[in-house]
Amino acid sequence: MIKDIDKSDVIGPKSIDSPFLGSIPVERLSGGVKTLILMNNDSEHIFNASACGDNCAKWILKIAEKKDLIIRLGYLMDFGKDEFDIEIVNIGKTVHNSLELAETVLDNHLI
Amino acid sequence: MVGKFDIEIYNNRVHYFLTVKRNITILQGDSASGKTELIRLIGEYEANGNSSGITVKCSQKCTVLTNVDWELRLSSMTQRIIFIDETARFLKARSFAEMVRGSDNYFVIVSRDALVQLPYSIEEIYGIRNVSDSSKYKTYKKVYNEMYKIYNLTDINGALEPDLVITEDSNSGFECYKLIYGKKCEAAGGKGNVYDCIRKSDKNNTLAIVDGAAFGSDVGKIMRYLSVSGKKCVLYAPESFEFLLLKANIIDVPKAVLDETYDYADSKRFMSWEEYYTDYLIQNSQKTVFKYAKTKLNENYKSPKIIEKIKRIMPEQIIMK
Repeated sequence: MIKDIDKSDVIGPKSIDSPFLGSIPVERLSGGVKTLILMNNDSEHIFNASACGDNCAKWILKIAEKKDLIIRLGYLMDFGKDEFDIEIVNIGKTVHNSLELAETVLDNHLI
Repeated sequence: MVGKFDIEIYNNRVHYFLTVKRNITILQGDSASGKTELIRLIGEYEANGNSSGITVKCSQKCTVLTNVDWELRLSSMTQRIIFIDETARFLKARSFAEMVRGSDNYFVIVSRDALVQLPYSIEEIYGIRNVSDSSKYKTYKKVYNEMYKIYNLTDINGALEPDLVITEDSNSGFECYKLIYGKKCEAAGGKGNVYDCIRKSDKNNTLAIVDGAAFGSDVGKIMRYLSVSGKKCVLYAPESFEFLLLKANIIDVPKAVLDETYDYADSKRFMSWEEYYTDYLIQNSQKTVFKYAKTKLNENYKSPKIIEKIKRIMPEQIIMK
């Protein structure tokens, strides 16, 4: 995720090599990547996926392949053209593609 | 505060260029595009000045507002450009919107979520863009730029012959558009209802006319819906209906009022340019035969000659022959 989104390399447990920012501590990873890492490793909390851009969507789906993942999302993220299973917890409905997701969210005025 | 401000922020690694000209500017985009880094640089410069190794060039003071004592700090600020990151919990609070109204500051806000309490323009939603391959030089480009004022039009060859025209406005604006488009015209009755009207429509070609100056919080959802649904709907977003009337030259309007509105629309008095244009039109048409009221369109605006003038300044692709 760090390589894909931040284009950076992990050079040690506390150090990241960023092509744009140089050597940085892990705290300065992008908000999107930090949120993804938390989603992956901390199942105790619900994280705000609005901190993640569209380029994080595929990783959210990937993490959700391993475990049920509950996120908070405040915008219509682009989850791509493939089918998926996303349950919209507010109304208990599962949607399977981007159109269904957009229509369900907007019809129910969820954002 | 009035004015248009160029902001240049850099250190030895990154270099940002940004221009703000309205009280509210929104920054969006992919993760890791540098939004938070921009705000970090401003915060660092604010704390340590030149010794931070950061240079900030702007005629106004740039500052960062965080969760800490935000109300107290904001109430004491004037004539500043205030940057707020998406981690600020107060962005969706009514109390924040109330403090933005009447504020003598400009706000640059990082947020992917729609901020429905703030009337920001579709023109002031920016995504970051690298100017050079090295990614050192970053600037912001409009997500919904001038071309997108008539969004989706590029997908439609030539002129659009709408089967349905949805207008955000249900009063004066609707009366006028009804004279242009006839029975095909339908009032949504507010920006929040535009999506519902598009969604329910089974027409092939739809034109939605909205007030661009305050439609920022809705444009993202509607454009996303149109992109995934493939519905043929064109969004035409002039600043506002009153802007169209002013631009149509029905009453005398100095060119600068429309071209350089940022020098006139004081953020202390007007929360959006839509409010400014409405106020300007009401004040300046008062003693003329074109006395304007938002609730009901003066009969003199309905004459064929005036309607023709309005049609002339609308994009020709959406005007039916």
